[in-house]
Amino acid sequence: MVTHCPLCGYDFNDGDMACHTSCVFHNHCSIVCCPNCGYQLPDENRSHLADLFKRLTGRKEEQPEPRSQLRPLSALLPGQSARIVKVSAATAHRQERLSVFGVIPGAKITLQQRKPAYVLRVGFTELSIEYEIADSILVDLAV
Amino acid sequence: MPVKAHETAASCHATPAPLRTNDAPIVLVGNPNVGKSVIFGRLTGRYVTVSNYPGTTVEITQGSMPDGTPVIDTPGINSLYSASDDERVTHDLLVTLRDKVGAVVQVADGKNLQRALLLTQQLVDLEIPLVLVINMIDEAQIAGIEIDFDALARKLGIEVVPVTAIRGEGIKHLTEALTRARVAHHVTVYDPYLEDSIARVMDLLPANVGGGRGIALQLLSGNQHLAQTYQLNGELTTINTETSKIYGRPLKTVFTGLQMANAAALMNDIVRIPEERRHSLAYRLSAWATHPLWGWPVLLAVLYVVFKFVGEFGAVTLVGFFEETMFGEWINPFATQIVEAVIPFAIVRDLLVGEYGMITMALSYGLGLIFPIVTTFFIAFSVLEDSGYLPRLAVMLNRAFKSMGLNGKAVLPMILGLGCDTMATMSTRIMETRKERIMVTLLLALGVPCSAQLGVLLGMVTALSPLGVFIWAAVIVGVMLAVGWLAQRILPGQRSDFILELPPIRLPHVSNIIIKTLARVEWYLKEVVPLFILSTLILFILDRIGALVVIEDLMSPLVVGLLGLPAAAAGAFLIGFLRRDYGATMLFGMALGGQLDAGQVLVSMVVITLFVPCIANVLMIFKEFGWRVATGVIFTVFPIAFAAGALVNALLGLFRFAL
Repeated sequence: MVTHCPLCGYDFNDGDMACHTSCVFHNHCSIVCCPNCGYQLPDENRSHLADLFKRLTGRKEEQPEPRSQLRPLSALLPGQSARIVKVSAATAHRQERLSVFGVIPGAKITLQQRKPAYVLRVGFTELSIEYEIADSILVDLAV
Repeated sequence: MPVKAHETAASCHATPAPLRTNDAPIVLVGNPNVGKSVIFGRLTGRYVTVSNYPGTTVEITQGSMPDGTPVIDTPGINSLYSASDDERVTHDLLVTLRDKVGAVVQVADGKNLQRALLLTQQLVDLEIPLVLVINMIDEAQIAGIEIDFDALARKLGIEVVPVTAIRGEGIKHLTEALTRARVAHHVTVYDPYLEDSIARVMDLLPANVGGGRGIALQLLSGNQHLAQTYQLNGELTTINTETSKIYGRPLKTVFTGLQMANAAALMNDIVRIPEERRHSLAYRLSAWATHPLWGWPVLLAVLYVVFKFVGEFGAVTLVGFFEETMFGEWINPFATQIVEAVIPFAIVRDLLVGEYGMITMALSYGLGLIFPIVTTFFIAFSVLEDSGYLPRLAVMLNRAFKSMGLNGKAVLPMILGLGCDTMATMSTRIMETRKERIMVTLLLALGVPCSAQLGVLLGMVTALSPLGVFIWAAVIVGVMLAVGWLAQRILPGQRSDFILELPPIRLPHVSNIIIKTLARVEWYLKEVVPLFILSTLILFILDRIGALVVIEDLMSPLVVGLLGLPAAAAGAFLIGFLRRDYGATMLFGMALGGQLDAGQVLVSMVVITLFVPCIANVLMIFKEFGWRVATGVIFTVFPIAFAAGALVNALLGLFRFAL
């Protein structure tokens, strides 16, 4: 990402910064120094507080929707429904165990929550699975 | 119940041929948590523990109908092609002992018909006379589901009976339908490739094998046991590899996938499921119970209520009445008077009312101290079980268990262990791999106190400051985490996926709670109290022949030297080998008698908590896993118990905490 120094007008990349390598905060430091003039300016993308403020005031733009409606189940948001496209055959045993609950290609699922474990609904079955399994299921949002 | 026309006609109907013989058993089969046990109770008049979480029935239960036909209740099963340990029993009964089964009654949940129809198709392939019972019709109706039972019956060619078993509705129809149990139509459409392979495997089987199609599907799914029975190896393997090459994955996943899709197709014009779903209170409660944030206050609230009920009402109020008033003031003085007046022999008098007396020690501990605690715990546990909260707890704790190489499912046996470790050891069958089962068994034996012991420990902690209680809890949890962490690395095998069905949140039925609690209390009185009497007898004899002193001397380097306890505590540990709660009770008695200071109470609590629960538990481990695991558990647990005690004692000496 290119940063523009408000003091001297120098444009620099993250890699050009000299201060982070010698700083105890390293990459977590939310202050950046212009490698040209040494001016210290706050990096609002790295600051957790700034990020929180932006989220609270709604100034942060949500990440744009991926154009494809296909994604792993693990990327669904709670409340979203989707149709299952594929259950990864990484382990046949897992595929078989999920299928007896109705988690098979073509089935419509609704994600209820992601944490502390994924909970989804298939028909009238409420099923809890962990992240690794949710990640191995491919769903299509265009129901 | 409305009387229908064909009910009266059933007695004089003319059956073309005997469809099933009367002495061959009827087997109840179905997905977990669909109400098989309730129907079993309705058919036989016998009660089996009914709960709202999977894995309740881990062994088959037998009973018989009024006309003498045997009925078998089986653990829930989702598919006949893969079987975890708890499903193995059902699987073997249907597949291996197929010819001995008279008829199968498949119980389905009206809300989950698709999953039930998967199993139906697998049963149809085995060609056993079948009746399909669709249970929980009331809940399905509330959810707006409409099922055309007649159309389903026509398609399958068997009787389909709607019931609401918990209220007894439709059971009469079921008993009649049983007389008309018959082999269903084959409804599953497999690919031509699969049909070809099935036919080829069927050709390999002896001609007189019944249900050959189902057996062939089993063999193609990789049932090793059957392959050995029919001595098929070379050719079967060839067919198997050839066919699975077409699909690029093991055939059992191909079968279940096809059957599941087929089930959906079957339901197409028969079942109507509303698109919109009301968000009921139960639904919202369920969401709170597993919420990443609100789940914890819910958990704390549940724990608090249980503690209030078991720890305060049971362990303080009721114990106060039973032990101090009933035994301390009425029974014991009265019995002592009678015995002293009637029995002239000193030894018999001592045996009954002496220091290690049957009445003054065994019964007043077993009935006065522990009985009220276990009863209140069983009530609390039954309510939790029936409410459907426990699997949600598993969701909350999955991550913690993951760090020990287990998955959240382990919560269920662990919580059950707080009631009784022996019962819990059996229910470890819901874990999928042997490694996980052994790990849970080990952790249960090591650190999960059963209700009896928990009650005594709750009594003992009153001698400690909050800091002392915290140290005790931290040591126990720490030891369990450490042992789990190590066992995960040492034991061979692997962790299984966390896939857990969450049953609906339900308001428990009062009658069900009462019956369940009574069944468990009866078990306690039958199994535990006699063990108390036996242990007391052993202590009495050891005391009489002077062996108790010798043992105390022998154990004194350990008990006095390492643990810093009085030599008399050796007796408690000795009895702790038989039942650790009884050992804890003796230590509690010593603490009450002022023989232990706060530090000694803490050390003795740590040691006795980490003991092997009881002799029955060891026998159960032996039964489930064989002698190697049983001795392994014993030789792991006892050294850890004493080592942890010695460590706490040493640290206390070093830092001199004010406890």
